[in-house]
Formats: sequence, C-alpha cells, structure tokens
Amino acid sequence: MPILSLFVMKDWHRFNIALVAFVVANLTAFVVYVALPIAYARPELGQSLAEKVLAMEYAADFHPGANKLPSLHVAMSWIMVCAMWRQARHRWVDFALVALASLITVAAVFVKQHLWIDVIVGVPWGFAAYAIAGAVYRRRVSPDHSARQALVRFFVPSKA
Amino acid sequence: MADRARRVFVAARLLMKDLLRRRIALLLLFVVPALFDAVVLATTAPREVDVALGSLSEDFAATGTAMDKLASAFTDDGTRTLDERKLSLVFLGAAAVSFLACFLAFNLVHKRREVDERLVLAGYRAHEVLVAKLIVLLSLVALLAGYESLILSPWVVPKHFGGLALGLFLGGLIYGCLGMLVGALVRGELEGVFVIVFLTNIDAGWLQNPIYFAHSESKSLIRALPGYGPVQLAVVNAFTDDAPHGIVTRSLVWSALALFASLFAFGLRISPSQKLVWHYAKVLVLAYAIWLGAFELVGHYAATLHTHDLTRPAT
Repeated sequence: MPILSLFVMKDWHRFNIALVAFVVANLTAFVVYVALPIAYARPELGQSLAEKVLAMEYAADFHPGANKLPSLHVAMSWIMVCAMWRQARHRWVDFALVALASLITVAAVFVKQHLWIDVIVGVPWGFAAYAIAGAVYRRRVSPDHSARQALVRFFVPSKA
Repeated sequence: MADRARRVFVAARLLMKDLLRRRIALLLLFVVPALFDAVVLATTAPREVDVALGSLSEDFAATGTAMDKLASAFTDDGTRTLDERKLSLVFLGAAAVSFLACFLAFNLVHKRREVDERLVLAGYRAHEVLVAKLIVLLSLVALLAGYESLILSPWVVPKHFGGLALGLFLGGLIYGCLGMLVGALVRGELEGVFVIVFLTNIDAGWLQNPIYFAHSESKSLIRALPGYGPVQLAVVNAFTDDAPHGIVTRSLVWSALALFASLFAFGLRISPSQKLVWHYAKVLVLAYAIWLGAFELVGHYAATLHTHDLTRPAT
C-alpha cells in the first residue's frame, strides 16, 4: 500500500504524516512486543503453491514467535488508508483502498500470521498513530514549507 | 496508435545509429565472448565430471516405509556425467551474454538520461523511450545469443541448438532488463558498474556453474536467482535430450519482473511531473530499510523472552 500511495497522493504532507505515523506505531508496538511476546502453533502446510509461499514466510519468521500483538501489517495498512483518503481523482479508489486494507486485515488472520486479537488491536493502533502523527506534524511544521522541505525539517531539526 | 509506433520506431532507429557510431564498443561486444571461450579452451582439460543439473532433479518425498529405498532408486537426482571443457564453454557463454547485455542495457539507460528527459519534454512518453531502448536491446541480445551459439559449435555440438540459443537469449534478456533497472536507479556511473559486476559475477558467473551447484549447501538460494533458468536451459539443451522442469516459465517471470521494475523506475526518473514521486520513492526505500532492521532486532530479542500462547487457556 505505501507503493500504491506514490501514484495516488496529491498532498504530500499527508505522506509525511504517514511516515511519522509509521514511527509512532512502530515504537509503541515495539514496547508491547518486548513486554508481551506472543507465540502460537502454526498449522502443517501442504505442497500447493500458496502453501509453499506461506512456508517461506513461516521459515523467515521469528521462532518460537514474536512481534504479533499489535499487527503492524494491519496498522500500517490503515495508516495508508488515512493518508490516501480523498487523494485520488475518483471516489471509487477510496472504497477500493478500504476494501484492500480490510482484505489485508482478514488475511493476516487466515494465513495464521496473526491472531484475531492482534488485528482487532492493530486497526485502532493505526488510526491512533495517524491522529497523533498529524497533531505533532502540524505543530512542528509551518504550512509555508513544501512537503519536501517539511519532511527534512521534521526529521532533521538541525536543518530547521 | 500508429503515431506512437512510429515515434518508438524513430527513437529505436536513432538509438541504434548512435550505437553503431561507437565501433570499438561494438567490436568488443563480439570479441569478449570469443575471448571467454579462448580462455576456457586454453585452461580447461577435456575430462569427464559428474554434475548436478537442478532443473532435471525430481522431488522425492520419503514416506517412511520400506518402499522409500526402491522409490529413490527410480528418482532422477539430476546427476549427469559431462565433459568439463564443453560444460565450461556453455556455462561461460551464458555468463558472457548475460554480462554484456547487462552492461549494454545500463549504458543505454544511464548515459542518455539528459537526452531522454529532453525527449519527454518534447512530447515523448517515458514508456515509449524505454520501449525503443528495449527494442534495441532485444535485437542486440538476439544477435549476441545467436553469435555465441555459433562460435561454440566447433567445440560443442549441441543436442538442441534452438534450446541452447534460447537459454543464452533469456540470460541476456533477464540481465539486460536488470541492467536497465540499475541504469535508472543509480546516479553515478561507477556505482552502477559495481552493482552490475557484483550481480553478474556472483550469479551468472559463479553460483550457476553446475559443478559448483552439485556441492552447494544452499541449492534453493541458487534456484531463486535470475541466472538459474537461462544457464540450466542452455546446459540441459546442449548436452541432454531431457526436458527441464519449469525453467522457461521461471526465466520469463524473471524477465517480466525486471522489465516492469525498470519501466517503473525509468518512468519516475525521467518524467518531469514525477520528480516528487521519485523523491518519495527513495524516501520509502530508506524508511523500509530502517524499519526492517529495527523490526528484526526487536523480533529476535523478543523471541528469546518467555513467550505467551494466547490460543490456549492460561494454566
């Protein structure tokens, strides 16, 4: 979805806010990951193409398990929906983005990458991160700056 | 539509004309593969070696019964006895075509960036400029693959000439598309040359050597690389009558992926309205790299802690 946003975005300040929201969502999630590491048994996989791809994902994942609650797959998807909302020329794109984020949310459970609790927490986590990031960004960045300048000034204060 | 085709054709024709002016470079394009072959002939002895051709090996799933031993005896593990000198000629032929196609494509995209930007300002679309380059590249790769197949023939009489040439062509196509991608992504020429040398040497010039593959500890990694399909196709068609499994599809998928990525990067790079998109694409790559590093660090640490299973009731 972040790659998709490159083609949809008109107001690049919203992309900057999404980047700040990523930082907020990740840093807070990392605290929970360390405080409450979650592991659970994964299903036995067969030989179909989808299952082979999933097996690669399982093999690359942490053992016995980590970074589950909240689901960052889900949180980041909804952050991108917030950032891209009403940015496209056609309204149907907004609904397509919501549908895509919903599918990612459900798929995270169906492929056993996450539990229901992870995604249920992940959705508000994304919205909250975007709201906090928006508030912080607007406070620190002048509306006169271009998005490109604002991004540098936000992350590298010495250049302000 | 006809107008677009005409514009692409004009761009391709002029690009080819420009290339033909650089006679030494063109000459080297045909001397280098011959030099590769000459080095092999001068340094390699004709002797029989056992090699493993990954595309001929069949999966064998043990059932834990007494039939396993019998079943394994009928399973092809891809091992063939081949002449080392002939094998090296075919393998290095594929490597040479890949290497040259990659450099040529890099040059086509990287060297002419200002001209391409000017063409876009003058009304060309980014993809039309890239399609023109692709046409030139495909023509030269086809020429190179045919030429390499021909100069091999005094020493290697291939079982299937067409299959050998197709393998060499696909190697050139994949690495040509990757070369265009590097040309679009990298700002400095030296960085681009380093990336190309690294990519082609590691994959097409080393890991895909069937002699090395036989003893490799990580065959799945080698299979996943772009050079695997073309080298396997060339070697299998040169020396056997067997049909490799899924190799052409794999090569075409790699070509399509590399082509799509190069088209995407090139379009962002030269289109004036997309400069901000290009900037944010780079920001996104940087952000992703930082995020991945932090995520892995936290995950590896968290996995060493006492974990909780929320799917089971607490005891």
